[in-house]
Amino acid sequence: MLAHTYFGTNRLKNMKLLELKQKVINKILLIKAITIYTFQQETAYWANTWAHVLSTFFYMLSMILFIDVVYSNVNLVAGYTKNEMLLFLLMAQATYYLSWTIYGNLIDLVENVNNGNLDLVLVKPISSLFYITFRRIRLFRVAMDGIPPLIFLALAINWSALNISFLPLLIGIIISVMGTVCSLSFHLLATLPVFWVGESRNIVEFTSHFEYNVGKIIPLEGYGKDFKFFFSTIFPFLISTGFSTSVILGKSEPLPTLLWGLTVTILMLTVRQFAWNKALKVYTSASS
Amino acid sequence: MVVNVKNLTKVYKVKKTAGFLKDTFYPTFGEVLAVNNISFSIEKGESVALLGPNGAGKTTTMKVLTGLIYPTSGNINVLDFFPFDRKREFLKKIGLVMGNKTSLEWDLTPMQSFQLNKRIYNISESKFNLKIKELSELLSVEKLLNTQVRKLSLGERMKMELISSIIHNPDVLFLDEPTIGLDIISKQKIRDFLREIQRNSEVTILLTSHDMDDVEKVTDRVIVVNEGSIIFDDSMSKLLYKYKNKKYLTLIFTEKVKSFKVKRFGKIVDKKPLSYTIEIKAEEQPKIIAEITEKLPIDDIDIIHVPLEEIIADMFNSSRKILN
Repeated sequence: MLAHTYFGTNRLKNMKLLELKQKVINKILLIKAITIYTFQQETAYWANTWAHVLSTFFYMLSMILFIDVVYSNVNLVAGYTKNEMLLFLLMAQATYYLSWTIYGNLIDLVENVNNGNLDLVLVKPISSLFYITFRRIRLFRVAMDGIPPLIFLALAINWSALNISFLPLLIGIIISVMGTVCSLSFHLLATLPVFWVGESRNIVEFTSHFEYNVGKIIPLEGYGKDFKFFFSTIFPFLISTGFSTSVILGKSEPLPTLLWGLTVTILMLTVRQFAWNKALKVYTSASS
Repeated sequence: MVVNVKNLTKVYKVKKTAGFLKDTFYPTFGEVLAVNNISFSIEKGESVALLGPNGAGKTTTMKVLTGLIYPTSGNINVLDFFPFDRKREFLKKIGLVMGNKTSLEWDLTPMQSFQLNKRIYNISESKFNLKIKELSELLSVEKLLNTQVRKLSLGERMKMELISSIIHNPDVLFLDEPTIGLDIISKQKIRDFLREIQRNSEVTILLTSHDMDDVEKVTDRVIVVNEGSIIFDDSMSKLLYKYKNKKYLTLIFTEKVKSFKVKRFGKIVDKKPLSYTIEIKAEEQPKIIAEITEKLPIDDIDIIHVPLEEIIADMFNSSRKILN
């Protein structure tokens, strides 16, 4: 009898594990399908794509020139040498491009709420929050725009002058991904007023600029204690680049920083889900 | 029972305009009653039309049934689910077509969008291919599957939308103005298609349309909604039966005829340079036709039942009088 119950429970556990495995596989396959789908869209018009590649390349060139000019008079800015600052810029640009793979979906969401096309998203048998987040994964576009300037920037860094070891590097990369998740979650929260007041494009634009100015220009060490706390909790914009670069360069302790990043990420994801559910409850759907 | 609605009410909050400062700092809201305590149910395989003038509450009802909006009150059950929970099992069993909204990607081909749906609905390759072949042949769009959506005509695009929304074999299909803006041939094709899938696959259909031909050709039962309440819920034949003692005659003349000469035979409901449409009692039809043929320069006479539009309009007017 006991053996029977034991095997019964075991079988149930196995079934649940199999179910979970299938769910994960389905999500991965869906992400793959979405990536291919977005690739097909991105490559529908080639000329437009090339224009953007040039613009991002020249932006990067101007940023390197700017750093060069700044460091021609000083040796340290916020405790960062020129090389360290270039690494910070590399991390800032890498996380920027990473978030841009799905950032456009937020603007699409505002439009879809306004024109009622969200209706057709909500009737799909997948998590609506998952779908609106990953509806387009602009990998190709971001790779085209991002990889050439990032290589150019990486070549400008004197790597041998930087003291980087494997574990902090790995933890730093994990933190930067978590930080990107935090920032995107925050931008999604900034998008949601559209459900109540009918528009939120300017709010999202504001939070994006805010993130760029706070998190991608000044390193973590450039902030005072209160600002550090403020910009890594309520406005979690320091995590993706500030925290991660600081850890990679050995200026912050890896494990406590990782734990901090993880806690904020979990909190942001929870708030995001809660706010999304609230928003859907007030969704009125544009009239047909 | 596939759809069971009891005492559904939906109230929208609408922002009142009271000047810039007040709107910014103390916005006030009013309430609009979109659906007022309606109840109805739909059996498996039924094809039902939800009719009503603009703002009657029919689209709101449909959106509540598909889980798009949250009802203010009432018990709503579709396929044993509360729609707003948006359970995957529920969403896999429904399809939604909205005549003025598109689920297809403008820059891609319909086939590329279908491929994404295949993954979303987890359809096997063989079933997918079979379904695409079957549906595209039925709608005569097999040669357009790999054409960019932006290059398709409105009718062709709507046919692709239909394929996209039923590729997963839904149990219930919700159609909101599926033929809006289409030419007569495309409309006909879509109506035939909907009838065919409803009969062959036992799909339950709930349709809203302002085109009464859609309603007559696609559905068997009519629910008429006005000002948020149901004013008629019965079969199409019963709806038409109430008006069976009326007929419309369209008279085409060889030369212009003054209206007072036509008015003697019945109430004029439509007038064109060389033709009039008059309303007569069905039992007087032979006598009136004989008289008209004898007294007026007639070229042709067309006898028609009272159009559904007129019946519905008449019903709205009656319900409005009762409400007043």
